[in-house]
Amino acid sequence: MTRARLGASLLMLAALAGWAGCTERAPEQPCACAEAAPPVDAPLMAFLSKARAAHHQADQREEAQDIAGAITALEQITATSLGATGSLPEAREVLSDTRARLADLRSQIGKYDEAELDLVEGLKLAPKDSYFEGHLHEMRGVSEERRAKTSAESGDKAGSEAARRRAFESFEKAIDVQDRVIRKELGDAEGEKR
Amino acid sequence: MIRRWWVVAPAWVALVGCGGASKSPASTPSGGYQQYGEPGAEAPESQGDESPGAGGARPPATYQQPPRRDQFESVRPQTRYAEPPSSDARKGADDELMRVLEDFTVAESLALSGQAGCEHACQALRSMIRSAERVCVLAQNDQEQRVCTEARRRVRDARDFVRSSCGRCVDGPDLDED
Repeated sequence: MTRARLGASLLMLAALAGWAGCTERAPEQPCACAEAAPPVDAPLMAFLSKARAAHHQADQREEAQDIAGAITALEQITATSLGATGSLPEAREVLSDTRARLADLRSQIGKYDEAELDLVEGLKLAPKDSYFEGHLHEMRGVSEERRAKTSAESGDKAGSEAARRRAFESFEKAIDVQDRVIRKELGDAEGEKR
Repeated sequence: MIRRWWVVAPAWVALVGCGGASKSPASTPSGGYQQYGEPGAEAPESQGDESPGAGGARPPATYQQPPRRDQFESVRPQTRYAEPPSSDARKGADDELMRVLEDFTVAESLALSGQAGCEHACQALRSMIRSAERVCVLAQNDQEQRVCTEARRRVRDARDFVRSSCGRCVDGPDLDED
């Protein structure tokens, strides 16, 4: 018998024995395995499920060119009252990612100031030096670039130039953050210092 | 039903695993042990008789009744169970098992963390590439052009780093591009 097969058989036996131990317990006796470490936070799971459904709905509406409808779908997520669950990293990531998408959608229909509010809220929630933080900066760049174009089309040269400049700086920031994220995720200590 | 099955399963696995080595003496009086013994080990005395399955013996032309209990008992003493391993051998086997389990656990956790790390790095690289493209489109003066050049260099470095660490990104970007 090879080492791998031996190891796999043992793991299977251990898993079966452990599970059997839990499942054979009388119903009135709570299983110690479940008590020791509750693996999932039920409100978090419900929130994540709701968020997934809302993003799916937003995808469909966006495909149908219904940008306002997509925004409404995503606002179900940001309007959810989360209590303590809201401080969990998974919830913060979902919320900040949703804010980034909302900013993108709002800026597509010219609602740049509302988009900026979403970005500010998202940056409060996004973990530092995370993909989500970088993505929010990227979306600010996208939003400001659109604003610059709109301003230029309406003859507002100064406004356009200011927005272009903000877009440029936001993209630059996004590059900085994502570069750090890559080094951090892949364990490049030297690169992180750069 | 399912619960029962899972309770029985470990016992079944254990029985199959152990039972495979000790087939009924009536069907394989000697071959069963020889199969798991050392290669080239001398065959037990019973190998030369007419029992089916013995090395080189031809199967009987007619159906043979299975041995009665007294016949069975006469066969039984000819088979010998393997000697239990010495305590040193058992300790060695235990150590080996522990090493295998440790190797497996370490490899599994490394694979899982590496996979997640690469997924995040690829996602970040995609965002970095998009942002660098926009920086270069928006650049107007010399200073901004330099920022664009620097952004492209950083993307190249990051892409090389992701390629060397992860090989490829499942959902893009293409790491072989320059």
